Amino acid sequence: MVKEINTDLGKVLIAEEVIENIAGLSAMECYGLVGMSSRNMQDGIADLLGLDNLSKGVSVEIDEEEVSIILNIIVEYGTNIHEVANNIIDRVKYTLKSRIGIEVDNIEINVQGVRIGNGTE
Amino acid sequence: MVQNEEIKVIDGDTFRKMCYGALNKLKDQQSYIDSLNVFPVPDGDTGTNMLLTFQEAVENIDQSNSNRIDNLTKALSKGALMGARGNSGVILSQLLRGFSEANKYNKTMENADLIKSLSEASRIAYQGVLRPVEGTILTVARKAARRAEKLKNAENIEELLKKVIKTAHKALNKTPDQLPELKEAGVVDAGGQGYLTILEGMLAGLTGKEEITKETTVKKETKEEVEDLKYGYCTQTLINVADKDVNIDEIKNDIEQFGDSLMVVGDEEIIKIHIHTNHPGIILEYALKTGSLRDINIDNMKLQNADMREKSEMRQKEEYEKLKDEKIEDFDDKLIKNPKTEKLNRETGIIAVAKGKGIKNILMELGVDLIIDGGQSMNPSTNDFVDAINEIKQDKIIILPNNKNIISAAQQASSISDKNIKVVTTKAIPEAIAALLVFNDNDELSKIKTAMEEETTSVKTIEITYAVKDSNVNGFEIKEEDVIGIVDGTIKAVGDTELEVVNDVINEVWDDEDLITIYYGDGADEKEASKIKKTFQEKSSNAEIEIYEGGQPLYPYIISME
Repeated sequence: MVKEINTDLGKVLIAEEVIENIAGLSAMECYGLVGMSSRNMQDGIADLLGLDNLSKGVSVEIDEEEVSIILNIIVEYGTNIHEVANNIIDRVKYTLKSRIGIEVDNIEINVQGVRIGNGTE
Repeated sequence: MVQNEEIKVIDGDTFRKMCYGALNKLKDQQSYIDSLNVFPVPDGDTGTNMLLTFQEAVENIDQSNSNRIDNLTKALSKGALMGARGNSGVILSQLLRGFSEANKYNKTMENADLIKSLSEASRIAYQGVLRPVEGTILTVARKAARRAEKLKNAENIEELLKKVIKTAHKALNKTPDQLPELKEAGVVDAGGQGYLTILEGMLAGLTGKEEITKETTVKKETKEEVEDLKYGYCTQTLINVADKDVNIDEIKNDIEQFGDSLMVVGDEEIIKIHIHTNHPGIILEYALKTGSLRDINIDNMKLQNADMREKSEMRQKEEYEKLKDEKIEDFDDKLIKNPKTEKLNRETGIIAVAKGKGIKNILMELGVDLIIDGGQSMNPSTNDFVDAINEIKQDKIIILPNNKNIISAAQQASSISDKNIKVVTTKAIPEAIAALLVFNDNDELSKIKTAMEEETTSVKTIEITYAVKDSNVNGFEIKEEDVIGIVDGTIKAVGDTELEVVNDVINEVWDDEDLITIYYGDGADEKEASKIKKTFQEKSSNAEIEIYEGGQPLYPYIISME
């Protein structure tokens, strides 16, 4: 599916992947998020993914006008997870709005894991 | 100031004082920090978020009965975790967690412990993010920590903290270089400012004196580094919207187009608008429609940020304004010096050839220093140019001949003069006017010439005049006294009346231009000119059309289109 944006001059089509990548990238810059977890939970393991898999852990659904995003994330232990999730939603929404001009209707955050950093010893 | 006893150990009471110091300082600067907030989401709440987070942390300390540093830092950290709000709040909670980790079994805090606290704070904070963005609170915390680690020999806590604060301040001022979003908005990082504020507050609490002034906060010196300031005015206002149904998103959408760094926040009672715009008036007018206004604040950011060069330009402009009223006695003198530019210390002088009071005035308004009287059929001689060149004080000179028959005389004069002269080959007054608009005194002469000549190609010049003899040109049979329309030097229409010719010419060369300027001269007046204006309006409803009295002889009308 692609997202259609109609302008005076014509149509702009944005592929799902683009939205996935941008959403993924902006989420990764969010504080508290330390990893994306694979969408495919049959593995049962929330694997920590690097930068190469920008859109892994992100899925975008476009249904006519509606755009919804699901993010599967791993957060740092010791952060306020609720707040981190909220921040990610804000950030992703804002980035998509300002970079591609699309309004996201719904963002779902699945916290798939907590990483215990070295900080706790 | 009396309290000069050195503090080498922070005990529970002192630590509490430090926390209160930080909290107070944060309260003071809450709205300032809010106003800096452009990243990651420009919603203007960083100060509020950090304050709420820290407040909860301090409340947690209040509830603790212990006076041991380990318990207190732990309480602080836990309070911050629970109370974390927003991105900066979460990061702050992690920084405080670093404080707690570093003081796990400490009853009191000494220099070394404070150093460890700062470096743990930075380390733990960095752990919480996959891809740290530099130019944020994290950067400030890291640089502060690095500095602290080198201060093992600091005399006392106060000295240590002071030095760390200095470094943090420097790091903060560099954030706009690291994060383009900040640079664009002309601010330092809000979270970073918040951390600095907390450190400063701690120092104030430690020493028991309000020793840090607002100096760090009000001075938005980083703005000087902003290269490209698209919008000039920081416009803020509060709108009273009680009892009205107002949609914040709608307001956002409506005024978005007028600028950037837009922030619209509020509740049912009050809405705050903050925007960087070039049209504060429009914003206020719009806001008025929404409700009654208060606390209106408009700052000219360009003024605030102007570097030396801009400042001097401003000064020159002011002088220019002052001189505006000086009158020129006789506009028909061979040489007219522009009294307005005389006193400006410009590097490059401009000489132009023109005829007609109105035209000369316009040229001088635009910055021509010296005008040689002349034009079609009154070509100034090479000697006139040499006189002008000697008259002008600058050694770098631009000449605008404004007629194709005069260019060669100008060039000849420039070749025999010792001064550095470039002739911009303008063939008509409108070309000179266009060229003057791009004149930049600070550029090299050859660069100015190129820029100006390039600009002349963007205008089309129509000259309306009378034939002086019978002739046959361009397929037109022309009789003496006929009205002829010349476009960029080529005859395009011949007729009996000016209006008719103008009409023909327009039909011939119209290319959707949107800025038309009509200079009427001898043989025409404003009333006639407005008829011509009408002709243009029929052609295009949205073109901007201006009429000036040019006062030039021979050409009833000179019209520029661009």
